[in-house]
Amino acid sequence: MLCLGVETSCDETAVAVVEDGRRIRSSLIWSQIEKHQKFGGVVPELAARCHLEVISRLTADALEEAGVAPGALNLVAATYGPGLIGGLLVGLSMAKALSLAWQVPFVGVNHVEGHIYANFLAHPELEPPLLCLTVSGGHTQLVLMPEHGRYELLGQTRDDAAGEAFDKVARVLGLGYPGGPHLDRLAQTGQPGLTLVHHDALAGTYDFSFSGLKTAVVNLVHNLKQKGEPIPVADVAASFQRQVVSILLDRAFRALAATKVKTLVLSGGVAANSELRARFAAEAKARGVKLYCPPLPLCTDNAAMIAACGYFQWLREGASSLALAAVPRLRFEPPLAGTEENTP
Amino acid sequence: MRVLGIDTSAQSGAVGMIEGTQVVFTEQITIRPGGSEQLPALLAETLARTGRDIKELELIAVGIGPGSYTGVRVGLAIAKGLAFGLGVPLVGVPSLRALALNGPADARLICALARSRKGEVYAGLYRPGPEGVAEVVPPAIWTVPELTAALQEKDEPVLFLGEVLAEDAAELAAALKERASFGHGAENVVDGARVARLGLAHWLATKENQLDTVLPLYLRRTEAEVRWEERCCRADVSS
Ligand SMILES: [Zn+2]
Repeated sequence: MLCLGVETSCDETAVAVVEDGRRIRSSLIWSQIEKHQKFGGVVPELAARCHLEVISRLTADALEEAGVAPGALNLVAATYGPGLIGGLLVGLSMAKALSLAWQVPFVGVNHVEGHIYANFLAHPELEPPLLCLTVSGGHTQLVLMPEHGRYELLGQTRDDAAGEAFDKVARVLGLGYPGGPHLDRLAQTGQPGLTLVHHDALAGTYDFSFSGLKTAVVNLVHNLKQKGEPIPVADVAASFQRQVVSILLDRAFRALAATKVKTLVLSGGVAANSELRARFAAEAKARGVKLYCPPLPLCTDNAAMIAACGYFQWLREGASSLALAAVPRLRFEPPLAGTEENTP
Repeated sequence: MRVLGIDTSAQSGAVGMIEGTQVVFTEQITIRPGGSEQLPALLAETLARTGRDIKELELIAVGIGPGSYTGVRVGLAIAKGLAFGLGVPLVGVPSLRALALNGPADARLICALARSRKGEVYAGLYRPGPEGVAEVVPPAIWTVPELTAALQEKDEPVLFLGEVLAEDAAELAAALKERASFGHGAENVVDGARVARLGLAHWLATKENQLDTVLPLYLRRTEAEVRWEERCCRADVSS
């Protein structure tokens, strides 16, 4: 069973071919980062234009690299949300047309669910039940997955996504865009001992809040500037990163203890952070938890995860309608009963 | 040749199929704003209803605008998927030119219009002739007063086609008086079969598959790019 995956929800155009939901035959990513760099963030209209310019060539290349003739595909999966509407529509529309032309089923995939499935590609032996922590520029979610296609949202961010907080702090410290990787590198050269005054108001819950921590950094930098003192950027980066990872670690391992699940998977672009990986690995070892983390190219946005997720979704639920609309603010459904008040 | 034409550049969508000079079907559909991604479902229904097989298609033609950025992009993305999936060539046609083909052959001057931002329209001028319509002024962005002034200079009757805001139409009518006339109903919506016809002519003339090269006729850079360049220019001047 060969599935074509298409992902255009943010600033990466991606097309992949995945066999039986587990084996990557090809996974191509066309990053637009350079196009958006001078603007300090993703420009939605520009992103949509770029997606359209490269998508047909990228699709042809993905098939060629997979060694697959166009007529040999059995399924087409595309992200239908959450994401930027202009970009989503490019990938979704092309995917539907491909399914129509090839006369094969089409499935619309939730991008965040796709991130979880990056782990199924990387680790053939992985099976639910598991707990998944998704940390990216757009999402910070803690989800219990008792079986394929069933999710219970345990917690999520009340304000900024973790990756968003990384980017903002990087900007305050005058680092380049995107901020996450820059901050990670810089933090490795600093001491994490600085006091960043903030209050973890959500301690004891599974929800996250990073805006207080971000403000603490802004205030610290501002105060030093006012006093004319040098800003120890590496130490600030290290201290901020230390605390973000501590919060993520606290929520994830308390949830593991409470649910008695023994498998933790990480997903999303921030899962590439070196301190996060190291501390989660150490904690997992100490607590006898199996930790899975996709390799770096599968952590960030890619289409292989969309194809994998689409395949398992098709097995359970069959095809999506060709009239499926793009949903920029698509939620992670169905939420666990009683957690609706947690959603912003 | 069996050709499919699609256009989603305006408020409505269009899909049409021709077989040589015969129209197999042509559908104008009202799609909810921003809902142009529903076109594949409507195409599937239309093919089923008319008993046609998608694999019969030998060429895909698509309207490249100008019009709604998102709408045009959806049309192009669908066209690319169909052309790549079927292994047939793709050609882009200016949507306003296809719109002008809705006018009667005895019209003197046709002004094809599409909505832009407030106070502005996309407009192209066309003259009907033995070979369809000839382009007099290519599609461009106009303020309504600019367009009115340009048309007043022409001193001949003008037929306006397209979906524009009522106040813009009223302004054009008031300025040009009896020289202005306006299309009705379906005349103001691009016809998919006419997109197919233009695409076929273009394909026969050029044999150029635009699968990877066709671009929307945006006529404008993104606002972020414009603002960024303005900032750079100011910095250049002050340094
Ligand atoms: Zn993502």
